[in-house]
Amino acid sequence: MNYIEFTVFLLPEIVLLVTALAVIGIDCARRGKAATGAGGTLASASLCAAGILVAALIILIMPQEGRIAGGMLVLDPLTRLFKLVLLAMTLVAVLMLMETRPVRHVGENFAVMLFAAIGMMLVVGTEELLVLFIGLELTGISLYVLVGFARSDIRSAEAALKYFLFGSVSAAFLLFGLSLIYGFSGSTELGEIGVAMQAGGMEPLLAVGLVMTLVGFGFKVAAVPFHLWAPDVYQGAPAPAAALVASASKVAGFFILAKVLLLGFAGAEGGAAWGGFQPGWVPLIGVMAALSMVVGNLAALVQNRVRRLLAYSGIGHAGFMLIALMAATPAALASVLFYVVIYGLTTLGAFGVVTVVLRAREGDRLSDFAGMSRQAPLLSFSMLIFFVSLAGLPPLAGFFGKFYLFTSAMGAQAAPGGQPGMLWLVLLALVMSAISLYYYLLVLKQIFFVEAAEGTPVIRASKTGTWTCSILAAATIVLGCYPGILLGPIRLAVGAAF
Amino acid sequence: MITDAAFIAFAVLGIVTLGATLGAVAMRDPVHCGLALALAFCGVGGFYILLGAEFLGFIQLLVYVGAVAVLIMFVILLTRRPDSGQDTNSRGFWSALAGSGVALGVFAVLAVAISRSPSIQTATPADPEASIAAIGRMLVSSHLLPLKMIGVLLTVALIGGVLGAMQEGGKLER
Amino acid sequence: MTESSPYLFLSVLLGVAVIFPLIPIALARGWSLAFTPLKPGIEKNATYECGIATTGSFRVQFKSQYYVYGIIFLIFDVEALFLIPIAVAFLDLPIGAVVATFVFMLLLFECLAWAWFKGALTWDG
Repeated sequence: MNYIEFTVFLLPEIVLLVTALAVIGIDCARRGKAATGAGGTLASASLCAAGILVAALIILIMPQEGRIAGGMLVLDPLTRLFKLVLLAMTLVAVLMLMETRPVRHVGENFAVMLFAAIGMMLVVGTEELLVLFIGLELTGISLYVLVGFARSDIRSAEAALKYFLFGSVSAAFLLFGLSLIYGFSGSTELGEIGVAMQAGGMEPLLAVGLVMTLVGFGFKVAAVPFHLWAPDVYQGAPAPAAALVASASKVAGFFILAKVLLLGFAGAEGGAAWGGFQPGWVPLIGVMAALSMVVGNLAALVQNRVRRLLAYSGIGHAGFMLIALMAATPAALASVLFYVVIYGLTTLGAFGVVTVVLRAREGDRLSDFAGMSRQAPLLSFSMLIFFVSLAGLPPLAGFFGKFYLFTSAMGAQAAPGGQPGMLWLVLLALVMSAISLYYYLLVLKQIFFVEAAEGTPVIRASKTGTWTCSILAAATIVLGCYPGILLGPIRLAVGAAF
Repeated sequence: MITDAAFIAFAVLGIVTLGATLGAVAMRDPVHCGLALALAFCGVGGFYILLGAEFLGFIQLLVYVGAVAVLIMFVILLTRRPDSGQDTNSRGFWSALAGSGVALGVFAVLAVAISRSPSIQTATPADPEASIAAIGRMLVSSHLLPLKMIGVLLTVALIGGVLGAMQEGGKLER
Repeated sequence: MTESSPYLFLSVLLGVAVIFPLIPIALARGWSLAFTPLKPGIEKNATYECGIATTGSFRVQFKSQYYVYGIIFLIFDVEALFLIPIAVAFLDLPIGAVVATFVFMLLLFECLAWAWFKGALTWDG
């Protein structure tokens, strides 16, 4: 055990931890004076942003490679890249938090956001079940706290309670499944579990372990039938918390799910072919993918509130990504990771716009967005970019995300020894993408073509809000024109890791 | 090694634990349910000791019986409404039936899975070294990262729990 | 002698400890059943059996402060449990491990300081 090396490897997380504690400390010190007001918020937010930037800089300028303590902490290009992505998303959430109405205990609110980021970074950077579970719990508990932070709002409390109950039950499932897998393979390291699974073959108890693990992860990525928390949480939580749940937590969830499936469950794929059914995780993921696409996209059609709409469309997007996970090839993995990053960025941006509208008009009904293009043109244009990208129209990033996702899934079917039966899922996904265009356009119609009713408050975006959303929109356009900027490194990193 | 004494202990613990968990879901008064749950926690701790995981057994007693059960009792006493007949644990016949059905189904699946799995019968993994000193050495060497993460996790849990119990005005409720 | 023999003594003691208080309770119960028949009524079940009608809620509402203390106790209980095995192995730990332990304890102190500053430890009656 080399403690110096341990500290150096963990330096980004340690920086975040120290920042979080410093934010809490400053908040406590200010308590003697008037702790409310914008001053406290600004101080906490800038400290958080500085901490995140320092952590990102450390990741950038100190490229460490290696693994300690049997895969508990793995540093390779892939984990570094995703830690950076998570840090960027947390930074946006911090900026959004600065934009929302100040609540009591501002310092704690920012600090818990950083704790969530620490948890997600550790989840992304591990290949060991113990660290994975504790990291997921750290993320989960931080997010429950964040979701329930608007204490004067009964909806926030309801969302937090639902999220907490669903989350702890699914964590129990996950832990039970992981313990069965540990008992079967005798190891908590994903690589060794994969070896044991390839050697041992399928047996009933292992199948129970697989199912329970997938239940736990299904909750984390909000796939049907474990999605019921999502609409209430997106709607009830304070917008920055909801944005973090929708973007960064989903990125971390998909990343670790992919890693567990491809590394740990490598010998237990099974088959989902018509008539050629084999027990394994691929049929389970297939069912979850199909259900998520159908339920998510159809339910989004009838939503009247934009945050609920984003929640259901997020469930649909989770379904798309699960299809490519079934393919279980490095190319498909790269496309899933590309897609989830794009999805996270666009959803984050959409939540940023929703935050501004919420602050101005006290609601997020479709009609609350009416006439927005006159009052906040830059913000409206950003929303256009985000929603068109989410719907998957060229030339935006979402189109290439979907394109790579579906081609890699089809490629896995064509390859010898690949997964047959993907064609049907991809066709279903194409139909559902077309449906999703409709509900995204409904919101855009309100923004651009419906006049605001008399007496509705004017939407005024602050500089930070406009800049953040514009930068995210610009990123969506740039990644659409040059997807290689992100896809190239992801492919390289995936190639190095698998 | 199954001796007669171990078997008797297992049987007694099993009956106590099962009876207590049944009581925890079936009794009418939530206070009684909470107490039955504490007894069930004791029974589970007994199982750990019986299986040779003594440290885990005592942790179970200390944390679950000593702290979690007490917390559960506090919550029951805090949240029950005085003067209303609602603080009984009564549910309809059908929901009880559905609950029992689900529980029996899960039990049946697990039982079948365990009885049909060859690796359970053949291979028993080697006992990891489980003396308290060995656990201590592991906690600060190979398992240092999980230890630190638990430290952070508990910090967040404390912040969340305390803020959750506090009122908007910063004063504690009631 | 089997391996579980140290626990045999404990379990016998546990049995005695459970039965011993049950005997007087059962005796008292039997006594009341035999000699004082139950005749409940509105007057008899009133909170104060003294003829004056009760006004308002008669149950004591517990303060949520108890819950805050309970949470804080639970957190520190768990943290202490992780310190026990480290304490047992403390004498043959390398210096890095000792530093790591202190960092863990620093987190613990930070929790305590935070709860103190937030006034979660003050009892305002």
